[in-house]
Amino acid sequence: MTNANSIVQLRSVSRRFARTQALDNIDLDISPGKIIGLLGANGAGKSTLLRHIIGLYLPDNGQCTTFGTDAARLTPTELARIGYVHQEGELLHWMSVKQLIRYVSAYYSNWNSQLEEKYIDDFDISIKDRVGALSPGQRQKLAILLAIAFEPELLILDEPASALDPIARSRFLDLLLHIIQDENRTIIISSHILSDVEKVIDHTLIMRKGKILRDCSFDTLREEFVKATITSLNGDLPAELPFENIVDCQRNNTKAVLTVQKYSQDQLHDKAKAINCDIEIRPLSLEEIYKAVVS
Amino acid sequence: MTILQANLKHLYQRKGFWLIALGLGLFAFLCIMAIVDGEQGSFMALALWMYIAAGFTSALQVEVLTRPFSWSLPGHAGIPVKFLFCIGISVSLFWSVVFLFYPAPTLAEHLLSSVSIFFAGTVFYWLGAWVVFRFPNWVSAIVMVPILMVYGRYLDMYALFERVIVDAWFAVILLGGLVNFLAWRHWSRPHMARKYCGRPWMGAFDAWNKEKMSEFQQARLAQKNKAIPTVLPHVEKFFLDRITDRTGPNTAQYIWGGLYRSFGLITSRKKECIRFWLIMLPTLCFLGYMGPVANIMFIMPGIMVANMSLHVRSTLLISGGRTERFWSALSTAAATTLLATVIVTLMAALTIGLEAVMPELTIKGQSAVYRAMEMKLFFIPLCMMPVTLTIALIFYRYPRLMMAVVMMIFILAMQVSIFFKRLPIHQNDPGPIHIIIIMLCCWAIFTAVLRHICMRRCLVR
Repeated sequence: MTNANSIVQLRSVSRRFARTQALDNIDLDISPGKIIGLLGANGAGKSTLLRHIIGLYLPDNGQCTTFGTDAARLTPTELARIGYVHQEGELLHWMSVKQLIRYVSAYYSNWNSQLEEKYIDDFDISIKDRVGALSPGQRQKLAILLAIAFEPELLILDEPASALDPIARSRFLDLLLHIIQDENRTIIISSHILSDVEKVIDHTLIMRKGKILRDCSFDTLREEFVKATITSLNGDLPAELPFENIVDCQRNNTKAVLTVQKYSQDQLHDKAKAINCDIEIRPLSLEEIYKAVVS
Repeated sequence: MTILQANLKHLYQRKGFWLIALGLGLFAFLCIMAIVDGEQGSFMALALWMYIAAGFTSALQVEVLTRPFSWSLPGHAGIPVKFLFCIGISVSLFWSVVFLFYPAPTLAEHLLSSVSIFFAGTVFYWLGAWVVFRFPNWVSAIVMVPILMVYGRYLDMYALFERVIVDAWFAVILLGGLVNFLAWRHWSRPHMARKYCGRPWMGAFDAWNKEKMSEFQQARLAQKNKAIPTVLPHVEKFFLDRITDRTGPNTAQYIWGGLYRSFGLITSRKKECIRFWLIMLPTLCFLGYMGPVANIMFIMPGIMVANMSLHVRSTLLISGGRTERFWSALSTAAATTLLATVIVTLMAALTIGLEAVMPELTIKGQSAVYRAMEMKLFFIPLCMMPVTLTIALIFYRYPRLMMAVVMMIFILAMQVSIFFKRLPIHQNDPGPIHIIIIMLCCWAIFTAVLRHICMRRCLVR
């Protein structure tokens, strides 16, 4: 995803914490208007990457640029264009929800009070409650509100829905879909709930052990991996199936379920026909694609 | 391995406890020396030793009980009482044997006072255990001990202890038996585990651990029916008017933001402010009779500020960059230091007023004159606080190490000042120029470290 108009650029960024290589020579460009799903196991380096983008972390090597400025030198003008929801959601516990909203909104000239009110209504946030007394889910809702109400150009969501109940998660996805309507807005969402993420993203970044395994559009990834169910039309399946790039295979004598990579539907049909088999092809879910990529 | 054995292993598995064990060991050694020499204070020292030891051993059990997982640990319900009794009885037996060396006229008196000591020891042991289990922040109860020790002598407590334990041995044994019975009943209650499961509780060193403190305060805030402090509307308006971005982002709004985060709540708590002075007044009355010890009040802010957050490493993303964080943190540090200096200077002024009215006390023939705090030492917090804040910035991941370094530096500084005072070339106290130079150096170091962290280091805990 190389683009001269990238709002985020990482060039050979490396970061080590003691013995852990959290980021390993990362190169990345993020274009405006993308909705990016950042996927990876725990400890893959997702949060570290996101924190580099907003300048909370500094790289050991390489350079990270956000909105054309070195992330370490982001000024209030650039930071006012970035919304960030952190998975641990640090908030000021002694304030009431209302006070905290007033406090954070004071920093932003473009705070959207209508959006704030709508969000409070939709998500049943009690503004009189003390922040410290909120449940983890309520706290996360509040953190999301604080990150979106000034309508940032770049919205970074680090595990935003991990503490939300199913209904709140569904509303959160609706909200994201609403936010996405602004074509200039870029959203990077890191989450383990892949079934939710796949509804909104158009680009995927898959990380493992500090490296980016995949950086491509979600459509490309969906085309790359497919699940094929092959049923023998006459007798047993051959011992060796004539497919290369098999990621996963579960089979018995007459039927095989394969996850294959880099095949077009026509190629798969031809291969199945060659061994006198019927083939049924379906796309993979993001979760299945993720498993296929990291395996 | 039995569950009890697994719990007893905590005594040596916790590295922090080694330090406590060392302290208790040294204290025990001094106690043994005093007992062998037949000093009157031995009985009081033993009581205090048992009280402190119970405090720390009970803390280990409360730590386990407050963890949610312990609720479902099979067979753990009866462990706290067994653990506490196991240690309590063992150490009491040890002390009763040691007291056989205490000079007594007859063998019978030897034996009776030894038995009496056993029961008296358990009484103080259970008192210490009760304090830990009763109060969520028990450290404050433990730190009262040194004061008790100092004033025990003035109030003739040492002799009283000896008389009660040696002469009223029968009453002590009865009382000890009763206390042990009640303690067994109390700590064997079936709902003990339920009562403590998930309860907010402060460990021995948690007062210096910002994360634990934050968790503790958060849990307390979440408690129902608890009077919760809040920011007064006019205080909030005052700060928000200054934070609000009218002419585009500027550093001043982040400075005000930092001050609001640190002082918004404090400046709204009038009742706490009155309560603070109501507590300080008798404390100052008390400290004035301790001579130069009263000047410890000048040092206290320098130690207490170690626990303060300057919001340098914060993941609450507002639109302030690294430069704004630096200025905000520096301003908060300066404002805190000024406020603390004003408060201790007011205390010193108060003691000067009290000096005129406080009477001369005579206890056991010794007269104690009330002495005011030395106003000229007002510069101490101005120099100490940036030093502590610098150490807190560097060792933020290791709160215990941070406190150890803070204490070491201040002890060293005191020793150096005493050394220089004894030199013939330095007859006078440091003059204003010296003080200003020291102060500027302290602030320069703090500013340099803060700037380095804000501009060149990661800003996440």
